Amino acid sequence: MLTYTIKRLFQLIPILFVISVVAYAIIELPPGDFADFYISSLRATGVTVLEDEALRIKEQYGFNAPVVERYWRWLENIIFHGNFGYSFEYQKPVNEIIAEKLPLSIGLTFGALIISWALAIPIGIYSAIHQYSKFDYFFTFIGFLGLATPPFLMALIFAWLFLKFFDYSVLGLYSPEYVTAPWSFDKFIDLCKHLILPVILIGLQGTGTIIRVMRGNLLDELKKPYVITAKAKGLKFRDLLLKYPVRMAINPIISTIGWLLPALIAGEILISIVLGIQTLGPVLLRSVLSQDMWLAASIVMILSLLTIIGSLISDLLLVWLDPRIRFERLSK
Amino acid sequence: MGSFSNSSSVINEEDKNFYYATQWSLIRSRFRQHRLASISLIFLGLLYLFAIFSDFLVPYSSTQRFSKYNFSAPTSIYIYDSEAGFSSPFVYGQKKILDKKTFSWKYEPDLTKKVYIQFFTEGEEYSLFGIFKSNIHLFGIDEETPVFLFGSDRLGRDVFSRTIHGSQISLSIGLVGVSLSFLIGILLGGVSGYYGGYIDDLIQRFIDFMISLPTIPLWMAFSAVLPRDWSSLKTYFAITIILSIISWGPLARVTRGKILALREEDYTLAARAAGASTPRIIVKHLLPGFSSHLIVSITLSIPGMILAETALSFLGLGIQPPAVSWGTLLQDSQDLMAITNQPWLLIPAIFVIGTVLLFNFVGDGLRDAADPYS
Amino acid sequence: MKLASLLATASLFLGTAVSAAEYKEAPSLKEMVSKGEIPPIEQRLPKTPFVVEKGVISHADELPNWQPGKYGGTMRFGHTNPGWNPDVFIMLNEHVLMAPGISIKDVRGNVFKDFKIENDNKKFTFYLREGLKWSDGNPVTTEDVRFVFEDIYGDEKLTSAYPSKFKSGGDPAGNPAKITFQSDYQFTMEFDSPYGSLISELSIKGWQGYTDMLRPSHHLKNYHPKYTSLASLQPEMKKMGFKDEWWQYFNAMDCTNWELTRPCSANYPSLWAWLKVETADEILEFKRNPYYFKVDSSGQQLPYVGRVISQQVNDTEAVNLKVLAGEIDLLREDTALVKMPLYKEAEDKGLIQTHLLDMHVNPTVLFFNFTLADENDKKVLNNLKFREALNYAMNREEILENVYFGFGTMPEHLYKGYDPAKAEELLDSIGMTKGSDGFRIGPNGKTFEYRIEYGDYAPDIKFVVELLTQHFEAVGIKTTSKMLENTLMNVTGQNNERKHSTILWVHKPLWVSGGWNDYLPSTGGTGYAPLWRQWYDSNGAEGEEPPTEMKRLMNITRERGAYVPYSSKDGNLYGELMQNMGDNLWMLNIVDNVNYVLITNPNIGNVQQSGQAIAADNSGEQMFYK
Repeated sequence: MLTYTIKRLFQLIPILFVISVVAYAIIELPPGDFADFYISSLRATGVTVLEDEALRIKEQYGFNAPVVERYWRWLENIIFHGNFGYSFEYQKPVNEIIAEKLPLSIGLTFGALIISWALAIPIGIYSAIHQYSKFDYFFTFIGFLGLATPPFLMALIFAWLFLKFFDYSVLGLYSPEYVTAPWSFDKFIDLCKHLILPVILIGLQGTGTIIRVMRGNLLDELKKPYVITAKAKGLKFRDLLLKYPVRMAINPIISTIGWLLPALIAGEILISIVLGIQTLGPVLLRSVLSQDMWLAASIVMILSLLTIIGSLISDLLLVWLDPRIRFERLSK
Repeated sequence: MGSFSNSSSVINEEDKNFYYATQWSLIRSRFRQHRLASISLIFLGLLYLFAIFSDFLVPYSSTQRFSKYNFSAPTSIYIYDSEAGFSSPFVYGQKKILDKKTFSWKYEPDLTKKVYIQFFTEGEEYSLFGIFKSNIHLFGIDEETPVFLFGSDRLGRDVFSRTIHGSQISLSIGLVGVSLSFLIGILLGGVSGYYGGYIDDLIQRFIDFMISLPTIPLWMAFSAVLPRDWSSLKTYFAITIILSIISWGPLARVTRGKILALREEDYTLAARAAGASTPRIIVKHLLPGFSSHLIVSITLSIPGMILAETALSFLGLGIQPPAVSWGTLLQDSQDLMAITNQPWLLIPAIFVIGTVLLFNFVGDGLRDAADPYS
Repeated sequence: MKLASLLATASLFLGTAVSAAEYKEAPSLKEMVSKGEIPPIEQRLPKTPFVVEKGVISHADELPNWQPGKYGGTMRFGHTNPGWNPDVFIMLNEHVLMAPGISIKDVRGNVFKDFKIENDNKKFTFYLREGLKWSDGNPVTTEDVRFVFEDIYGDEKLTSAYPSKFKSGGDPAGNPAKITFQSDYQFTMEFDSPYGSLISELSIKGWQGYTDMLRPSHHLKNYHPKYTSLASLQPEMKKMGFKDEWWQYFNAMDCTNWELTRPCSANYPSLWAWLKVETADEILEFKRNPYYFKVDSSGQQLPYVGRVISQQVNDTEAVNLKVLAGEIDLLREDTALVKMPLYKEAEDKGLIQTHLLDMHVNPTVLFFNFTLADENDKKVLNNLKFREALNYAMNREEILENVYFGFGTMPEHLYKGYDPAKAEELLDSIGMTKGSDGFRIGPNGKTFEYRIEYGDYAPDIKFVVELLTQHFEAVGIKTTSKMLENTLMNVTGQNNERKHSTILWVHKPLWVSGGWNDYLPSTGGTGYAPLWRQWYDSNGAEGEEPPTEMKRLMNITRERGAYVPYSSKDGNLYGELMQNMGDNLWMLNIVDNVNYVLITNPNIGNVQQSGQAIAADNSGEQMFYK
């Protein structure tokens, strides 16, 4: 087990290197640079940037060094100084931006994860026990609706409904009056009012998948001889169900949390864009668009890193939870 | 097999059918038990039929405009009129009025103008599969008074015609994209699972790596490097390829897992002992062993592609007008005005949601049926 | 030029100065004075502050019931780009000189007290406001001007090209101004040829700001190696990822008017009505500048509104949703005519007030890249008959009706009716006959494929492109379109890589003042004959020589440079300019006089009732909560 873990940790190093190259390449691939974007977006908002001024901006942001050198400067700073560089658009160090947005993203994602589990696991259990019943179809249908609706459209419709029925816009994290106010109970309530919709919407996207996995696993589990034996021995079905098959069915779900991260971040981007939340997702999208290269490359790098670590943890959990895999690994 | 035929006399007819059935017919019969899935499959088939014969089914092309009829609500179709009684379906002409107080357009039926809907009527010329040229449409109406089953958009185009035309791209993008990622996934997953060891490790880490990259910046980078002067058809294929390059990872994982389990089975060992080559073993002996599972995986990844196409359009990276897909239609409906004043623009969303649901139900049915011997 | 009359108007305004004893300030500032945080108001205002009354900031007929306001309140905005809100930018931006609205007629002092033009529009004398202070309390003097011209524009690393607006005639090929400083509050600029239009360059033209002429030298010297050793700059530079590029570091520290909403302007010495406060990324917050140099006719220091705040969302739909929730007090940039029914609903609930004003641009114009690399296609675009054919082929009424809801008129000088038959006739006459596929061929005998590339800059552009595509196809021109992202728009425009055409706006309503000259070829986002522009900028040394008619257009611009805007000679040249544009169809405007929605809080006073929406946006310092 230990050697396996160490081996996997060593394998991380080349992967991280490749990720850093790809992350940087993604940003460098499209033509132009941040200066082009900046000038163009000033013009886009009706400001006429004179040719002189455009030239000055280009000089201010343009980096004349070759790509490889710029890449190395970025990587060198990360490795030796833990410094991810500087964001031109936000005009501050990338480290600060990530430190500000990442916790919010993770918080939102975990909130969403809890919502989807709270919905999916009971539904999954119900539909497995009552396979092909009316409610099986009904709940699965509801669960899948979240999976099937384009998230951006759903977000806009719900934002409109919230405005219509609760008379406030769910956009952003706070209402304007609390934005700069110091922390108070009211501000906290206001934050909760704004977070409820994004958490639910992001959560709903994953619900369908988890229902399916839960239902499928439990169905398989219920057909196993031990369940039949236990039933035959007169064990109460409810006790039996929760004690063994459900636990067995949940295990694989828990152990794959790490793999969920990229999917959740992808779903989060679209919803956050519509709902005006400044999490890592929209910042990433924005920075790729604006070719704010250090910021974009660093976010790609960090997200990938988190996922890789997540999937490593998943693998280790699997090995630890399922003796069959453990022995197979150890025997090698 | 011989032992079965010997005992055939003692088992009844029904069981006999069961034991003699091929794997596929077993799957088919189990699938039929999943009612929702069976119905879904029929609907899906219909959707694809609509897509193929869209030119015939809808009255207008995707770009035909009725500039006097922008943002018109779905046309009401009548079959009764107090004077003439019941008749074949007809519509009334419409008058557009600007309400200066609310600044919105209102349409009022012009009861003096009554136009009958014609069936199998001549309209704009089209070519089916690029071979058969025709101008016969299922239904149509004279040029002056258009009929909009799903209302019209900002430029006065028929949302119904556009939705059905759009399904061609949206429904095929899933199939084409998935078959591509299926190929990559099978190949890498198969090799990984069969050989194991060092190669397995390498491919596994590569899959980890692909899965770990956030998809949206990848989409953006890829679509940024597509040459600007490509036609919309070329761009469409490029987008499909991009989608499949990004999404083959999970499929490869499934394949590998199954192969890992199957390669220890006796029949694989037997084939190896008989001297069969590795590719032959994978294709001839291992793939059939879990093809039903693969079909489930594929069915369940098609809707992902359909949704990805709409997301690409939302981000402005997808298919470009005048080409029309469900993604571009959803782009039009991503507007507060659509939600409040022109709800018919949301109808294409119902098609997207419906299709994704149908694929999911079919996938579930297949999943339940995939292991017929359990 | 009637110099005397110009001076007379200027001194007329000086006459209305309010005496120092009558100055009043906001309660919050009074409190700060009593705590000793800032000096009393007499010491904060210049000796002669800028006095605001009816007809000063807004035209008298556009805001006839101007009134002195009340202190207090917060104005809430929404924006979509991190650190950038164009509405707040327009509202805060200050110019060296000004005129009512966004015009360049009757220009007078703003940040500067006054100016004088002598010697046939060649010599300009500028007078600074004595006692004017930067927002950190330091005095504004001619040293701040000297620093800009000598240490920034004069430094090769910081400025690769001396700004052409400070060259004779505003001509890139002209000689730089000779600047002499008479005192802390007076300096002169001399040019070797007449340059009357300099005063438009120093007022609102192109949303330029005072930072082009004066910057807080006391602050910036800390980042300039001439005043601070490079070694002591190094540690901070390194943090930002720079090695020896001190000029990039300086530029990052130097906050120009473009950047007034961006993070760098927090705590940066400025002259804007509100000062940026350091906040989280998604919020822009500004508080009243205690040293702001404007007072109203009753002696109250402006601005009335104490705080400006803008929340970031990620797209325009979200901004509009905030409007409907009553969370926005002023919006111009992201409004849309199409959404009028929604706005009206919110107006009925008393959440907002809508103002249907004018737009300062022609929102959609078809540009051509006359210097296209492809010789065959270039010939087609340069053929006036081809452009005439397009002009006849585009159904402007349909576009007006469908995209602008009928709020607009047919463009003057250009519109000759919608006549597809005539268009086909013209195309046939130049040999662009229809091929077997029904599409017209180019000079090389192959199908001519006409391409429109556009940016996602405004919601109407996409629809106009779609309609035009079909209008042109209807007369047999094979037309395709493609949306480019922002960066690509700039890159292709600059490098002459743009395909045939682009749709973007022009400031046609402002051409009359000479304030904008986007009728000229450009290396910017329009992709409008970049090589001709290079030829113009380099005085014929680079680029490609344009045809005679275009050269005339360029010369008109040059000649206008010599005259003060709206002088009779300038007026004649403007007439010739419009004639030239109409005759040669360098660009095809789709509609003129499009209306534009401005949204404000219903309780805000001094919002102009007519005129340009952006002018109302520009007048924020006189707005107040009733």
